[in-house]
Amino acid sequence: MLTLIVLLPLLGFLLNGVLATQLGGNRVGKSFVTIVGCGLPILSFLLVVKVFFDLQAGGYAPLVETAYRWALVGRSSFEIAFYFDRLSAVMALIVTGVGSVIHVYSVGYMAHDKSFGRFFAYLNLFLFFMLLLVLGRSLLVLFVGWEGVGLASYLLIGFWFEDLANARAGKKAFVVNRIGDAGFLLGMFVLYQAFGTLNMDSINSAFGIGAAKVVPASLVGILLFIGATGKSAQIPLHVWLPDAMAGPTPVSALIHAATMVTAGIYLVARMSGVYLHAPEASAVIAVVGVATAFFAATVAIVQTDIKKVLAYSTVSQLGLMFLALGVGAYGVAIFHVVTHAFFKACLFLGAGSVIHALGGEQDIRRMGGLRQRIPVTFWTFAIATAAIAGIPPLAGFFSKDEILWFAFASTRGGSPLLWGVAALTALMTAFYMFRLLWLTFMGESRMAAKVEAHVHESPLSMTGVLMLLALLSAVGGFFALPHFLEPQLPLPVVDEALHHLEKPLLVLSIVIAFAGLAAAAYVFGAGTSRAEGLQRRFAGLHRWLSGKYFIDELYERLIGRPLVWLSDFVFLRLGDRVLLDGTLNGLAALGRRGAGLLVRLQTGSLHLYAWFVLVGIVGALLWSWRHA
Amino acid sequence: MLEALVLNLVLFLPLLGAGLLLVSPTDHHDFTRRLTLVVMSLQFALTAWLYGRFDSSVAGLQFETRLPWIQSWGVHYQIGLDGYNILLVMLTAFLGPLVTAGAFSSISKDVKLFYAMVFLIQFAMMGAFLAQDLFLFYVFWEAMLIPMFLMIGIWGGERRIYATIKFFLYTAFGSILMLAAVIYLVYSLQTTSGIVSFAFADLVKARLPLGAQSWLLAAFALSFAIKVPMVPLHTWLPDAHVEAPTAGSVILAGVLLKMGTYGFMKLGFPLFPDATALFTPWLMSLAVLSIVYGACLALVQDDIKKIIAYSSISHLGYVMLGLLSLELVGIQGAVIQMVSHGLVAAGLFLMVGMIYERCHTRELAAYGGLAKLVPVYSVFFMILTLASVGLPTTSGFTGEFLVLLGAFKAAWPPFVLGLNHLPLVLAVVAVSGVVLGALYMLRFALGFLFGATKAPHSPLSDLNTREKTILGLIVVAVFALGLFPDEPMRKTELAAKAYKQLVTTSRLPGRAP
Amino acid sequence: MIGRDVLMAMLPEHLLLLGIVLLIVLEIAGLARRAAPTVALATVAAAVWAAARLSFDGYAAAPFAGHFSVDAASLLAKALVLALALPVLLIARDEFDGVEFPVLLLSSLYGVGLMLSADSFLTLFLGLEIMSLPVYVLVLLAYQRAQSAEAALKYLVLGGTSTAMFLMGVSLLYGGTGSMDIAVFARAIGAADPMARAAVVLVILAFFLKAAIVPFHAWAPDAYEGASVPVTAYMAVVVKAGVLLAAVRLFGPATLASPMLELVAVLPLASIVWGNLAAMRQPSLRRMVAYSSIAHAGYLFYALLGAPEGRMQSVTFYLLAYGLLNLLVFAALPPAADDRERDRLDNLKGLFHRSPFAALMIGIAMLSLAGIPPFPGFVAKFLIFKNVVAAGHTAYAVLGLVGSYLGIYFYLRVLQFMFMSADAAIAPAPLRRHALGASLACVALALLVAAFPGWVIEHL
Repeated sequence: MLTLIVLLPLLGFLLNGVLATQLGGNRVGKSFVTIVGCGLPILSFLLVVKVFFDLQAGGYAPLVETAYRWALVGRSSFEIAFYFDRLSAVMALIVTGVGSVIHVYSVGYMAHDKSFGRFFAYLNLFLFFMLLLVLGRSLLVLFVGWEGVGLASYLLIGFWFEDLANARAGKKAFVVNRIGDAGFLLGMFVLYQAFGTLNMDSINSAFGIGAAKVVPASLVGILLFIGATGKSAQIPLHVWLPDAMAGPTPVSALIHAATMVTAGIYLVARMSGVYLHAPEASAVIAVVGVATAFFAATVAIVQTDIKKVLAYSTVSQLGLMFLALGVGAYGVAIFHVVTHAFFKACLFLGAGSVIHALGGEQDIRRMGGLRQRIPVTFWTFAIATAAIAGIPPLAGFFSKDEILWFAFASTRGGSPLLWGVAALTALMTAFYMFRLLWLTFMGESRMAAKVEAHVHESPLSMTGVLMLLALLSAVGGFFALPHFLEPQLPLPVVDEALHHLEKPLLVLSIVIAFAGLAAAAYVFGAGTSRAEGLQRRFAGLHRWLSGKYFIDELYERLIGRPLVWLSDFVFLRLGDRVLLDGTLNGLAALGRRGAGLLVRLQTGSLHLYAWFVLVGIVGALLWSWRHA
Repeated sequence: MLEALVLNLVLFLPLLGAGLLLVSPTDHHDFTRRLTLVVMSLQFALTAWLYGRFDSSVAGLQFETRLPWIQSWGVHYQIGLDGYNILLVMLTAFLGPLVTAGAFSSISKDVKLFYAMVFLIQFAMMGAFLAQDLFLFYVFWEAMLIPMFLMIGIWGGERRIYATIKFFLYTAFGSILMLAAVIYLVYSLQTTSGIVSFAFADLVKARLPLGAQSWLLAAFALSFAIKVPMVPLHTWLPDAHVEAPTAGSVILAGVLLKMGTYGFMKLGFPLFPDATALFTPWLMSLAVLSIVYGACLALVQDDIKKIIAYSSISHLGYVMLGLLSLELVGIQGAVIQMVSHGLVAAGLFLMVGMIYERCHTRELAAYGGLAKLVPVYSVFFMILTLASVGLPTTSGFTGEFLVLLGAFKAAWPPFVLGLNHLPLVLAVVAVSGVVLGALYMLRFALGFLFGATKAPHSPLSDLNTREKTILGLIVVAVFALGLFPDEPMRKTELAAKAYKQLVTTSRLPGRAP
Repeated sequence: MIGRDVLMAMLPEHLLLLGIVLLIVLEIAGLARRAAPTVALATVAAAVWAAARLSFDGYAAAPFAGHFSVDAASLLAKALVLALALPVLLIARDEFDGVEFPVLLLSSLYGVGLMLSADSFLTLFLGLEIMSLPVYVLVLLAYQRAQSAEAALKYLVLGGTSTAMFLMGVSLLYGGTGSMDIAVFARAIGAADPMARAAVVLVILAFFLKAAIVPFHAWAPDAYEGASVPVTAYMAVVVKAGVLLAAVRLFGPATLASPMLELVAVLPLASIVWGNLAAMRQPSLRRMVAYSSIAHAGYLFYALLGAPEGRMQSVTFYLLAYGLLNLLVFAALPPAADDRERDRLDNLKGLFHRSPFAALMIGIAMLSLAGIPPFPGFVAKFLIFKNVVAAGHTAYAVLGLVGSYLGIYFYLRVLQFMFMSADAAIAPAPLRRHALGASLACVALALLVAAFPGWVIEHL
């Protein structure tokens, strides 16, 4: 059953990939692509639901299903096995659920693209690998999915490859992820040599029963987290995600907001058995998470590309999730993954709908006043914005508030400082999200005339999805997910001394949300004058922020160029050409010169030859007498 | 018994083919091509049958033939299949028809001679893999150079003469010293144990003092390391690859380079375990250096053939790393990696050849947006690229993953015990090769497939059925090895164990085995 | 039954003598033009057959005790060397008509025959001279070129020094021991007194000169180039074979020790390196072959470093491989307007397209001479170096092998010319009938030896 769930999207990929592309000579039409491309994901969603009820019926005892043996080395066997428990159930539901609706949305969004078939093939491929990732029992299977979703994202970011920039963004994403994966691999190796298996349940329990002596948990924790920073775009490997917006918007929604980028959070939560014994690693995660959250939020404030704003907001939200993981609130992190999946998908798809309506325009400085023109998009976008900003009682509020609370009070490394930064981030989040809302929909139009001419609301296949997701972002907070996961991912103990502060902090976070809203309303509510005023006043700061702290440039200088210099100058020119080939050609020349010398001795003059003979005889005789 | 006969047939079919060509008419090119293809396919069919008959649960040789050849020296014509060579034999036979078909359109000059050379190379390579007698092995090992020399020299590019002479002299130098070592080894086996034999099975009984072992291993290793090639003995490879005709590059990358790693696995390390232990740090360092160095150089090449050539250096570094790890995982991984690289590099070179036939340039800068111009081509190219990057589900992953796993498993205990930190450092550096691999291959794909469309001689025609079939077969093999490596690994497991056993038991004189 | 032995033991020599007489008679009768070559061939063939037959019967006898004796081994060697002269005669049919060439060749072969059965320095000396003198004239036979006269002169003069050295050495030995038995030499090798040593050295050097070992090689390139193709072939193959086999016979059971060891190791090593290096830069095929033969003389003398039992076998086998393929080169060398043109390496360019057969033959020969498997040259080298190592001279073996490595390049260069270079503007010239026959015979034998080296070695 689990296997089938995984394989259905793969089937979709193969069918569309072969029949609906040049490979099979475009045998089938859009309708076939649509039915296969959307039908199979929905089907596997339904299967997941069914399996979920089985799980429930079985009292949530994990379901294990072995597909086949990948390899057997000595005594340790690598199996392709699937594992279904509360955590993977939640993830699988999100992946297939949100995944399916985004597929549906794409039908409308990509309707006019000539590579319609290829697009759905890629989306299905992504879904296949993502399901491997969340359902895999062993780190190996997880890694296969892990790299696979990376591939899908690479292909989809560069979907419109005629523009080299897109393809380059895809390459960047892949390579940066590979850096993380190297860490992941090392983590796996450490675990394998310690336990001789890569099954995550066995590893977790092994640490549970104190096998931790074998190998330092924090080392494993850090190494796996390096992998997570790559996939989930945390400092210092966050650089790829903003560029990844080069892909079609549904891709940004599905891969770069709702599902793939949360793989890192899933990994840490899945390996919580290790992290429970790795305080140092957890601390690192918390700090990196909150730092990323804060840093990304600051950048988001000044972005002018509607998708870039959302991208940085995603990075920031992921940072908050890692913060939760860092303080041991694994369930909460997953909770935020879920709510975030709802509202961020909604936001991206809304942004997609806007871009669709404006015929490709993405710069919010050339938008505005869209409220009446595309009302559905506006309202759904507004709800999602409120949700991410943390306005109660929308989904974001609950999850974010819990994160803040545990960041403050968890006995697993919670601290006021973490809370402070996180709260500040929340404030900024509310601010830049409402800024986005305002600049896009409110005020008077700043659109180019010809763009404005044919602004139109998107078809039902898109708006319907928007409404569904808006609804989920509204009510999503009411499933008490952390408590559902608690038997598997226990919440951290809260410092009793701080218990009395829970209510005040709750209030405070509401205040923060509205403060952000108010600030945005104040700055952007009345035209652009105030915003420009601020921009002038803090010109330097503004340049830093809109330049994303120039981290890309920094990497280029620190890593990119030195690497090329090393390869080209040191290795190729000095090493290969001068040192190695130089020596060889030198020897060859020596041989030739020697030959030339010998040839010149062959003058043809008998006298010389006679001298040779004489020398020979005398030499030989003397030698023979030497020992006498 | 029947199997043994078939195995001999498999070995001699190419020679037979060459003989047929010798007497067949000169200017009926299509006849020549078809004949070659038929013979090669037959060889593969028979090999596949033998593969099926091969019993994984039996250690040691199967389908053995052993006839006296030079009695008084104890030289035998002895061939057989075992876990060491079965996959490589399979690979060789598999690539044979593909190389043949791949050259249908590209070779129009001296067609008969060309396919005769293809046959002879195939014969020599098969022989080298099947030989179980050091003398026989050496004969095939050296004989291989001749047709390759001619192939590069006759059908190669502008600097073909330089390249092919360099190739020959470079590799021959290693072989000469190896020849000295062979003579000395056999002689000392005779003096110490009274056995007069060149059979591998007997040679591993030779007990030698560390000094002698070191010299002999040094000689063998030089010869093998040049073939692999390991940095810093690699500079013949880029030239040979760039100048060679497609078929030449495919054979080089597909099989010939494996001779080196196979030599290490079958002879070098097992024959001189104590010296191996002594050399391991150095060889391991060189292996890792090759991984990084090859990758870095691949990163800055403008010639698409050179990119793949240098990537080969990098990928075979993994093989060496796996063999030296002396962990079952690593050894198994090394074998898989050999086959994987054989398939992937061969496929990539074939594809380079196909585009070269259409555009007559190997300048990366001359291409762009091929994904739009020749979509089918691009799909295959992308798949092979990803396999070369070692993406899971492809053979490249299986090899790299197991090798690194083995290297790490071997490196961890000494590190924890504080005995030796080098292996771990090397293992970690080797892992970085994973990143570099992605870097250079994707750079290649980026400039090649994506961006604004440009290609000399457009409009380009996309792959034809013949080319699709060739690449399709390779891709299938690549995925098969990536998704279901278990079956082949069964076949090699006992050999891997035997190898580990041999290399880890000292054979110094006067020491109980 | 002395008489019978005299008849049987010297049967090959007698046959040769008979042939010579017959040829002269024919010449007088004025029938030589047509019949001479056939008669010569028949004679040599008969001699070969006789020697081989006797050898297989395990015949052994000493008709002139202390001077001349035969046994299975020496007869086989004799058969081999004489057999190597057959292709030479075939090649020569296209070059020379008339009786001079066959007569001279046969008389030279007679000398070889004596050498290979000599028990006394006297016989040995006779053999050497009877072998050499006709060759001086043979070189002259290519009278169309002034150069050949000069070459013949050089050869004669330097050959004279060799004779002188030999006589000097022998007389010293005789003076020391009062015996002309060649066994004296073997005993003297180990001796310590300067006199004996000087004697041994002089004799060895005499052989070195005849075999063209550095620094006594200088005559070879000029002589080889001066002579015409068949004569060059004869010098490079048969004469060398005779000298080497005689040397082996002379060294007998003696194992070499310092200082003679170094003498017999270093100078040959020097010629391996020198010959292989100098051959790289030769414009003319015959000069190249000359240098290659200098190098090969080096390998051959290396065989003397090995244990006495193995020497005969390794040298004979080496000569077989080396001789067959060297003859193959000359046999397959396409004819040209004049001898000089035929000799220019540049004219081999693109040969494969003009006459693939010739190119393949020469190619095989080159690779075999380079000692690359699977061709016989490899097994031959292997055998020699195997014995050298077995005798404990590993260092010399390694050096020798490295020296042989230097040789690979110039052999490859020929292949490069024939297969990889643009066509030289020459009209394709098909091989003449007999040359074709000779080359086919050589290559067939060579390939047989390559396929069943074991069988051949067992029977040597």
